[in-house]
Amino acid sequence: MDKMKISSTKFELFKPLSKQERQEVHSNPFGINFKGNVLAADVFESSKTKETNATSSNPFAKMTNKSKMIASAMVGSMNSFNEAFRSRINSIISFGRQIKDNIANSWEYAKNTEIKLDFKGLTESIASKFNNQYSVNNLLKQPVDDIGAMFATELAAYKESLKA
Amino acid sequence: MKTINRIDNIIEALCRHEDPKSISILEEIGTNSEIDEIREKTAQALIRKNTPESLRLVVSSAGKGINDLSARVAMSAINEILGLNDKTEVLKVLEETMNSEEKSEIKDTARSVKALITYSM
Repeated sequence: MDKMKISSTKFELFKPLSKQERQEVHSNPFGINFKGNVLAADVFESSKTKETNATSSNPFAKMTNKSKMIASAMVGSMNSFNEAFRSRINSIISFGRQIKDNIANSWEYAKNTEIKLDFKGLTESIASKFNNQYSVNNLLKQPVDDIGAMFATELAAYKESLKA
Repeated sequence: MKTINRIDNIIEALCRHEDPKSISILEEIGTNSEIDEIREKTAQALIRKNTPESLRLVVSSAGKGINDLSARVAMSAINEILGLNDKTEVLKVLEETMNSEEKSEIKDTARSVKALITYSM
């Protein structure tokens, strides 16, 4: 029976920077700028502590400086993410609260408002707008002689307007 | 409302009015008007009335309707006649005019309009 082999995975995610690259990236002499987060970790440890760390049973003590830097960056970005998330959540909550208040206020207002439909006034206003004496339908209701008189009057007025 | 719009409505109302007196009013005030626009509108209204009396006014009367001195008025009257859905009455009136009218000019115009109607049908 053949043995299954899992090929060794290469983690190239954390590629070490060359000295020149590092100098270009590090504009801050006191902290290392890593993807926008200033590292809080003290990367300049004495060799003495390094030795004691190597002998201790704490698994985190074996972490190299590089891995400390990454962990610190991760913690930094997590903190910033938390802050952004919290601020967004807060704004959503306040927005929802505002909507709730508005709805409640509107409901209170609607409850205390009497709704009336003034059909009579509406009909009158529409009638006054469309009740034109010179509309064809209204003219047809009048006797022909009256329409003839109106025709003569309007024609005289039109002649005058053409002269002016 | 503008005066010309009022006049339009008055002419339209007289056109639709069933009282036969409406024709005489249109003739007296409308077809005798010195304004071409009013004569044109009145002739169109008389044609739309589509009664023998109203059609006689625009077909057989000198200086009115299709015999108007203004080419604009005469042409729009002819156009209105051609646009009528029921042309039986106007054809009768044109025939009458061609047979009974003394003035040759009016006869010729009536003949021309009749020919136009025949070709357009």
